[in-house]
Amino acid sequence: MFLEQLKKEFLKIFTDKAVIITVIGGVLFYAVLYPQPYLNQLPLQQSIAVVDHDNTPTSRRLIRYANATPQVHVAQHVGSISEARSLLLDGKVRGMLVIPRHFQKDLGLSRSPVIGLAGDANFFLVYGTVIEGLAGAVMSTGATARVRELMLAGIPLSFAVKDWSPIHLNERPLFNVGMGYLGYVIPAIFILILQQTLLLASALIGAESNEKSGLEFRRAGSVFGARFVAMFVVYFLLTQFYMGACFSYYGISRNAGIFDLWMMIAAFISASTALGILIGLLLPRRELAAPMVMLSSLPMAFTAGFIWPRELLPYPVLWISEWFPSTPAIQGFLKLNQMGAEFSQVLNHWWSLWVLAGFFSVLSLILLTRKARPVQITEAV
Amino acid sequence: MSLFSKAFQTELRVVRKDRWLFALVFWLPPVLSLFMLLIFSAGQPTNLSVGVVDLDQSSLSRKVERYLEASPALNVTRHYSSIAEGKADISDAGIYALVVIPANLSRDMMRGEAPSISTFFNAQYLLIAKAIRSALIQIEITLAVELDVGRTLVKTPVTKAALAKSMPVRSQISALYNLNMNYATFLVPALLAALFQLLVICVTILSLGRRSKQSDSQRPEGTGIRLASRSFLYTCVFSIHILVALAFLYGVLGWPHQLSLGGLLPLVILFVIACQLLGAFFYVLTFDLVRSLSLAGAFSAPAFAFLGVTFPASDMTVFAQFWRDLMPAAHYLNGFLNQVSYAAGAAHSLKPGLLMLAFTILIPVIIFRIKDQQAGAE
Repeated sequence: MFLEQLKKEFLKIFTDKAVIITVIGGVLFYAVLYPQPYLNQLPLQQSIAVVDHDNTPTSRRLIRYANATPQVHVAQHVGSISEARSLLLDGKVRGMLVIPRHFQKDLGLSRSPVIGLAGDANFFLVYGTVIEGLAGAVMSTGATARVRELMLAGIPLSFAVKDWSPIHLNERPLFNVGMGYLGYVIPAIFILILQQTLLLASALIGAESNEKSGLEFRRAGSVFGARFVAMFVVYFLLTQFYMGACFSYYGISRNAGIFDLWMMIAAFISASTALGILIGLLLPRRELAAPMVMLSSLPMAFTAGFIWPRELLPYPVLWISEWFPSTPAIQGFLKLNQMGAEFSQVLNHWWSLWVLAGFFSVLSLILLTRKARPVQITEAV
Repeated sequence: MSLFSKAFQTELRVVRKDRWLFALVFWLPPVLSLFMLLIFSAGQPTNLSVGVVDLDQSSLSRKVERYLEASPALNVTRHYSSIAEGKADISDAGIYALVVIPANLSRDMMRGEAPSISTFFNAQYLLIAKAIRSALIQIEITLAVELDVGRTLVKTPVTKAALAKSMPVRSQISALYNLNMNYATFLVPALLAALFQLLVICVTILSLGRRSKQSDSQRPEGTGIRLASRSFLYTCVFSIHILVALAFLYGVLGWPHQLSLGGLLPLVILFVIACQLLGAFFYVLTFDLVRSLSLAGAFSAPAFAFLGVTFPASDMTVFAQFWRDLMPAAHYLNGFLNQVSYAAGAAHSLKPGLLMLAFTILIPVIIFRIKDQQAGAE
């Protein structure tokens, strides 16, 4: 009996056009589409405008330093700040460097002149890049001046170079070493894509049965079990495809051991499948599945903790986000696969997924049995 | 006119009867908007957990730690006796960064050997990593200046001159248009644009499909007017939703802005209409509710990534830029940002407005497909 039902559920996945488009089409389409904006990894060579009120060898050296950084590119020299502003408004430049009059003289007299740096903070990533580049150039100019001064005071060059600052801070980015965008977004968002297409597919299948008569619900346990197993198998394979071929193609690190990964995948797929079946049982009409599932994507992505720290979420938001399988799944997978954590360190996420899987399964079974009841009564009569 | 108002009222009745459509049209938009706003209610990443390995245990190392504590972005939550212990905690995100103060920090400092403090930070969470890094750079500069001033004061006993010696050039950094670097003001307008694009497209398809499912008015005459009047309801409702949301953000919460209703109104209405046209286009492609919604979902669910607020549009690949241009939300957001922060004149919103107006080229396609289908049905 169960095998027959299982065959039926597999057939549903592969014969229902909307479902197969979602499962295979969606997963493949997003694997190509989603990384598109981030393929260039880092925004570099941002255009800036320079306002040089000094026009001396030192000020020109500062401009050269700025242009030499990978972050910025001096696109325009203008005579006033207001000109630079209007360029910024037109989107021709993203930032500006303002060198005051008497810059060289003040530097020579140790009056610490002030350089103006500005960037368009509407675009944080661009702003950060522009300021990083410009501040670096200013720092180098300062360092050059300092080293020269120390050498004049009779300190040998090798010492002067080391001594221009009394203390250094060494920054070592871990895991996503290049601090690129692809390695940041893809490992997390791909998990969300898997979950969302899975939810949509099982909701479509579930709602399809709702629209039909209650005949299908005679054996609640067997229907649930078969639907669960069919989805589980398909998505276990698709997850392998994402975390194997796709991650390797996009150069995303895969640190987790295969058994650890499988354990996590099993928990993640179980929780998502159970939730999908539940949603399918709740929706009265098939067409509601896509809007409902798609609308939940943004809230799910932004509460999963890889963009915004979860410690800073207000309590109600935090509470709601704990019901999404993607929340523990993204954290668990990132830690295992990207951050090289041991399985014992992600046990809490693993258990959360199983708790969700159990909870959604029980609810689905209750709903299925309820739907089955009236049919049984008519049969008894 | 009577045909117009009749169709408008019928549509209103349909929406009120359908619990799910009613939710999508009336109460889900504000609830979802509020949810997105609440996520970023902290404004800036603050109190991010940091661990410290202090191998020096001197007054100087304790000073470094005090500086870490003093930074609003950071919060020293754990101390370790070795780097290995701390690194394990980075791996399970117990801490976001580990500051390692080397042995002999104090001694090297005295000898003028410029010791270095190493910081390991989790770059997987990019936004958090950037916040931590800029906090650390601030601390480095302050610390360097303070220590250096202390050193030079011995030789040049005038504080101002000593300060100048340790900082030969200073920079004054201005974050234009988003002065307090608030993430809510930066992300929420874009999130709303993506959210409303998805909502309007889905609702349009649902309404079109639902009416043709009932197939009560399949008469071909007046199709255009009937469609327009039915859609007019959603144009109104969603424009009002967006305007109310914006009024809440910039009026009630007092986010800084240079908006005017006169500039905003056409932009919002054009945005909603462009989304409706796109939704209708998706519907007439298949005339199948479920499939057209899947198409529309596939198109608009990842919209946020393409809007270009997090990763700049100018640095996207050519294909991504093309895909982005197909989205009304991208043009709306361009126009909106021009208005909200640059106080740009009408000329600067004209281009996004015209680009959204370009979606009207879909109208003949939609009408043609519907007529075609009606002819086929007869």
